[in-house]
Amino acid sequence: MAAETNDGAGDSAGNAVDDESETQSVSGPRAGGHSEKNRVDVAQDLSGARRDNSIDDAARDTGGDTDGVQVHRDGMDVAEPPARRGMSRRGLLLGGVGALAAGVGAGVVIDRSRSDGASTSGASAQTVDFYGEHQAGIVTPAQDRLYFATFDVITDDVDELEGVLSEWSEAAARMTQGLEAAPDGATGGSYLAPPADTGEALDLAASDLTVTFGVGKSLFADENGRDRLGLAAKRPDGLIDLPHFPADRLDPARSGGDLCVQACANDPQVAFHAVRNLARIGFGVVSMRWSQLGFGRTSSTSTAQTTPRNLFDSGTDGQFEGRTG
Amino acid sequence: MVIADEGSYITACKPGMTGDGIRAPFTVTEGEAAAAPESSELLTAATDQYALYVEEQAEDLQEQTAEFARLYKAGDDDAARTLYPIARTPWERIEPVAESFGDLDPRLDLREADLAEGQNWTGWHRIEKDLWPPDGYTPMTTDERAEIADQLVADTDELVERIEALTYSPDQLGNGAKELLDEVATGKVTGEEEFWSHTDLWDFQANVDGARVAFEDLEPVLDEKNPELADTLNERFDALQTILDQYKVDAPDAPDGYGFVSYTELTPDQVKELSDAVNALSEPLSELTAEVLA
Repeated sequence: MAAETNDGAGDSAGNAVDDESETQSVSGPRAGGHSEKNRVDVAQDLSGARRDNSIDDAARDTGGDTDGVQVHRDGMDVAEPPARRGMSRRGLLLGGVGALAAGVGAGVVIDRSRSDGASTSGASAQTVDFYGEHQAGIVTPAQDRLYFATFDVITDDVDELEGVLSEWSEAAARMTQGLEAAPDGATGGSYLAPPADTGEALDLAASDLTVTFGVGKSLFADENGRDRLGLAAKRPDGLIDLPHFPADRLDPARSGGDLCVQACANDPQVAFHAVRNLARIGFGVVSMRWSQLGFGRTSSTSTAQTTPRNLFDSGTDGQFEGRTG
Repeated sequence: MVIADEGSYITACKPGMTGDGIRAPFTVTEGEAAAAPESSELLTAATDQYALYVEEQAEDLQEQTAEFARLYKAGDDDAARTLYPIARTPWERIEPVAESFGDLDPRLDLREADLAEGQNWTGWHRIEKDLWPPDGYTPMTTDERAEIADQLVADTDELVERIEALTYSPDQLGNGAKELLDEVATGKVTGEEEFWSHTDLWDFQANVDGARVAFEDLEPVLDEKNPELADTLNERFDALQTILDQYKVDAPDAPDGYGFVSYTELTPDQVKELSDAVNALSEPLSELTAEVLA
């Protein structure tokens, strides 16, 4: 947890992005790995969630108010981020997020319904709409790279959380369109202040970046059952902890979280940049709990090819040990 | 970001840090960015106040360092260990100023981990290791102690003398406050600064003290320009202080009567909590300079 990212980009104490533990890879950029026997926590949470349609339905039903941040797909301007419209506090925090996110454990988003066009509706071939009926990054065709992080809310003030979620929406919408996290970004701001963007995605394409947000059960009541944010009544019934699975050996420090952010892109640096800038925006309100890199098939292969070996999967021949090639 | 004054400069890149390296001259001419920051009575008052604070701390440092060196030379290790974090407190409070002297800072405050090959290790942390020796360490002889202690005193005297000649601009206050928080984030939260004595929380408090003074000196200006930021900074300084207060212990020899628990007593969760509070303060603090000079 060394706070050492005190770099020239003016990133503040910079603790956040160093919080990542080991960078094990999970199979598949969506963290919903295809490897049953080798899955890690993330994959387990998600695959578990995906098996359970009732959770999905409950989430949709409970959060039926969809007048929030995610419903506006019209008016997307590729050059500039979409304006915040209809982003009422209720819509943003309770309708918006609640409607589309129900998580298990880490709060993985499980809304499986397709958003129109899923991937590249209207924009250039390398951008995915951020705003739509449902969040991008669920049924969007899988990108190659994942950076997944969960955050704990470290304030009891729901207004502060609302502020961060609002800023996150704007920053994420911009970054998915290949823009910097904030206007003026890494180079255009005051000489007297650190830049508003950390800059490592400069000159890189949007790379099909999607940023998907979810909430965990602990957001609505902490482990002692305390409703610190006044949100307990808003918890969807289906948002429950996963039951114990055989051979589970979960590390609490690398499980759970109040919020989760899944950034997927075809360039790992773009995905990393997205999460890093969101973490920075959240300083003082949310704190990164754990993060996980993931990768999948590279873009240079196709479904006609077999899955190559990776750190977790044995490839298609089921043999992993003793093979070095 | 450095805004250089007009003049001729030379860039130098020395591969392997040997020879003259690759050099190229360039000239800085006056431009918009180099224009002098606006001055006002409030800003002048801020910098005057800060100058007084730095001088006061420098004098305190000089006094305490002399006493510390005396104890150490005399072999009174218990008393030297007690005084060590106390004597370093004024240094840590004005660290950005002290560090602005590129020749003195490494002589006084270099950590063993940052030594370059062949570099002579002197200063506070050299003595720290001798006072809190690890297994297998060869203690310094009386002569070696005298040499290193005398140099500490001489370098500190020179530092204080040079500090007296300094004047400050408002951006130096604002950026200095942020630098102090960065010091906390990179050295103290991680327990790297006081590797042998584990008195990192003393330094942590001193860095926060110094940052808060610089901020409070600028606060009347900020209140006019961005009162919301001023409120946020006050809240977050308070929040950080509340967390630090949990680790205070009685220390009769310290000027305020309290000190701090050893860094090694902190749990990973407690370090994380401190780190979060530093981040929470550091991010808005980074806006201070631009807002004050807006």
